[in-house]
Amino acid sequence: MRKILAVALLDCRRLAFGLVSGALVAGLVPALAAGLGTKVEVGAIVAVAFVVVGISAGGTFGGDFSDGKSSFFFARPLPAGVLIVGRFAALLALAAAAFFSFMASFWVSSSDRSGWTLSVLTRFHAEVLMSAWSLSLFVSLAAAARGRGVRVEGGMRAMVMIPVRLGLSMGAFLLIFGLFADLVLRAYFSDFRPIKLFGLSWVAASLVASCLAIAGGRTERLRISRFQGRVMTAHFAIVSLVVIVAWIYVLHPDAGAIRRIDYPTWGSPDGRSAYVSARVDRGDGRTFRPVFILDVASGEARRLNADAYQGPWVSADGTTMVWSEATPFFFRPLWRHMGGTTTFRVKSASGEVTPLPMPSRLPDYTSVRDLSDFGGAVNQILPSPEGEVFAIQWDRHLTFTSRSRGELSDIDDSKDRSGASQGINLHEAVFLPSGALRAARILRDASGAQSLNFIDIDPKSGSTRTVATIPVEGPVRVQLDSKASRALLTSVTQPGRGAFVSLVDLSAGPGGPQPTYLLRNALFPSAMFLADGRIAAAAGGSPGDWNNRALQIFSPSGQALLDIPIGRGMPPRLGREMFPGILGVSTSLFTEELSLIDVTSGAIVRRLPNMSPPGWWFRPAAMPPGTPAARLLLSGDGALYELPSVTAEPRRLLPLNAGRDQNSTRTSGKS
Amino acid sequence: MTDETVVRVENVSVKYNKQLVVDQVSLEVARGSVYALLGRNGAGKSSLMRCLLGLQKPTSGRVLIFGEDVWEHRARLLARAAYVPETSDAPGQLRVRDVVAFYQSMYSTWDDGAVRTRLGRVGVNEAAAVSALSKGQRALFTLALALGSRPELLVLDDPTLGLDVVARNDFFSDFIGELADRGTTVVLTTHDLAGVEGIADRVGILQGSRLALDEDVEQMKIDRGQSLEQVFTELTRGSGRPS
Repeated sequence: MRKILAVALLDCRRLAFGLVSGALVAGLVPALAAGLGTKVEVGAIVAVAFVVVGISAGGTFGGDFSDGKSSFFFARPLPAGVLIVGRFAALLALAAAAFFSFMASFWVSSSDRSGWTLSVLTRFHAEVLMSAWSLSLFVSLAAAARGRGVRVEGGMRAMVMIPVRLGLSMGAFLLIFGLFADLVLRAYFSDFRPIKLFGLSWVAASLVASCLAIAGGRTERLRISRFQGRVMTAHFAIVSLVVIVAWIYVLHPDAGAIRRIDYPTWGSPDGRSAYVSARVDRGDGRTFRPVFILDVASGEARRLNADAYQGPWVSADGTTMVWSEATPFFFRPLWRHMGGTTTFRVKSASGEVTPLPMPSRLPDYTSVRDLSDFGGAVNQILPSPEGEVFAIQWDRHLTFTSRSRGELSDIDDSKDRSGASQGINLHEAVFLPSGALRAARILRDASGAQSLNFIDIDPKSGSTRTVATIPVEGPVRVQLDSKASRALLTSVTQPGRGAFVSLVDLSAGPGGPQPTYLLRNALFPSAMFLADGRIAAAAGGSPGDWNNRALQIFSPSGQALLDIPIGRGMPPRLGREMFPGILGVSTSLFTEELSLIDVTSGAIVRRLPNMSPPGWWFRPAAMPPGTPAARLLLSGDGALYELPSVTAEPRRLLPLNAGRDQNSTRTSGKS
Repeated sequence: MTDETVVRVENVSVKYNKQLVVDQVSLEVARGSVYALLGRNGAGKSSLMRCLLGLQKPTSGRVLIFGEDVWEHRARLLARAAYVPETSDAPGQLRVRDVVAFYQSMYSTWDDGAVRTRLGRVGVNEAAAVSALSKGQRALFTLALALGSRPELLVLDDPTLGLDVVARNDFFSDFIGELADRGTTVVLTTHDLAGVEGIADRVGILQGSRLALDEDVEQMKIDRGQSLEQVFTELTRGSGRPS
């Protein structure tokens, strides 16, 4: 301890006067700034003061190794560890002296003492102090080791090469880190800043390099230089290896890594494939949910290298798929700045994957303020059936692009001065055979009255033509049938009020169509078109009559055909038409249960406990009944099954390894 | 190695990149003796001195002081040894008394009174910054510090560099003589052949990075019939850099 104090005192004696004087002057800054009418953050000044302290202390330490002067320490009975600890103790003492001097000066000079508190010091200040000290020590030690008088030829050249080598090594490190660590970190930490880890890694490596160089080099500059170089090279090699291995392992899980499926799963429109967003045995399960494309018939699943929530989006005929390729976010701004393509890819019916022409102003990310907070910029993409035209919804824009002709048109809702447009939901839009996009949007007039405006948009010009306008109240969900000639409107249940389901015939022309109400005053209703054009609608009773759950079947024109009572329980939720005429309806009471209901006779032909239709809440896709994807089931413990027939036992598809994370699934029970 | 051997250098070589500056040097220094290591500039004297104190790791070979490897056990062994570098290594911004206080903290054998007396005798102001001292004062100040720990082994790297003739004579006659009388082992390098001739028991001469001569001084003079300066000149002519 005596020797540590002796070492620390040396630094304090050399630096304290200058640093304390500087801190006293810095303490006047808040008062001077207030006099000029501006406010300066006390914490920011303290951070700057700590940078100066760190650079001074680190620079002095490293400078002691120039011209063989380090013999002053090493020719004494002073272990290298004690020397380093002593210098670090000096750093802390000097920082404390600077801080208290600053605060004293600040207290005397300023009448606003709101920032006069110890809590102005945060973890950030400790990081700043350590970083400044470590980097300053590293650089000054390198300069001392390669400086004047070094016993090698070309000493000056070596000196000049210090910043060059430092820049090159940092550039190489940045490249490796940005390429491989970025997405890996995001798989585990939604709010962690990769650039911060990059910085901390460098600071730590430079500190270790300096300490080893001091302990192992002592007074020999060539040895100090070698130690520094080797440690930094080793750091580079180890970090590169770690991040590359992590990148390969974490970001490339195969189907065997799937542990649970409890995220949206939806089938391709042709019913052959399903897109499965899965929890795998790596990542935190929240920010990293890779998407697998499951061929239901064969049970084979392949991972799609897609950004979270950025696809895949599939055309109505199932032949064209769009997604955003998961490349490192880190370099995307630079890549785009250099004229590179976006990350969006389109896979055509032939299997060819090409970059998707995207709106020129659309970034691949939502924020460029720093390199830490990226999110998907695209809300939704809808490919046309033939895969030539793409409707891209982003921010308040709806842009049409063509694979062969690039950007076609853009509708910018932010320029709608009336404020009437509430945007278009592409989930509720359909490409017509004519090439136009039929969509719905909410309009409000000056009195606040709300209406649902069905429009056809010409992708080439962006011009719109109103098809129908229906007065509605509150939020409404819209479903168009496959020909977009009819629309089902489902309102949202408000507290104390029921909701409605109505049918609108869009072929009647503007001003013509009137909604046909299928359900009124219903609790949590849902509705869907069946493959033969009929309509299924379900509700959990009405306000005051919770137990009167029912499933109703309507003709294509909206006339009631069948009323199927379901009994007590939670509001029924429509799944999909799993087999022709057989509808899957979630009819849980206390536990999840899926009922298969014959929509012609009204009979419940089978009950599947602990099962639900996957993705029912997300997208009741119009998959052809009986196709593999239409027959998918999701168990309560996160396993995906296929039901081969109405009477057969469900066939487990994913996860591949039964029993690892799931318990056995109960799938029996026929009515 | 006998108990009386304080320093033992075993096949030490020092290379800087591809430049060999000390080549397979071996020597021994007996307890209480004064060993003078001579050589022209660039002969490798300073490198060997640093190896002697564990300040630098030899490229090959090893150095034992007090019977232990000095590179491995430097901090412990140097509690019994002191070093006077070619030029003062004390940070120039520090005051003399700060440096003295630092040294005092390092050595349990520190003789503070003797140091202050010695500093007073050579006219060094304790309140002065090290950088404010003249070259001669700095050399004597460094020597005073080295002696303050009452070392068993004193290693001096050209300690009279920068001293005037009178101070140089005083140095050799007083300090080194006194140390030798106290039984302190001394290893020094110097260019002052005349000064060292009277006090050195043994001399080693580095020539072309190798130890060309390692003999008892008196025996050498008898055997060769030449003075130390004549032997040195004869051995080192044409090697090293001119002084």
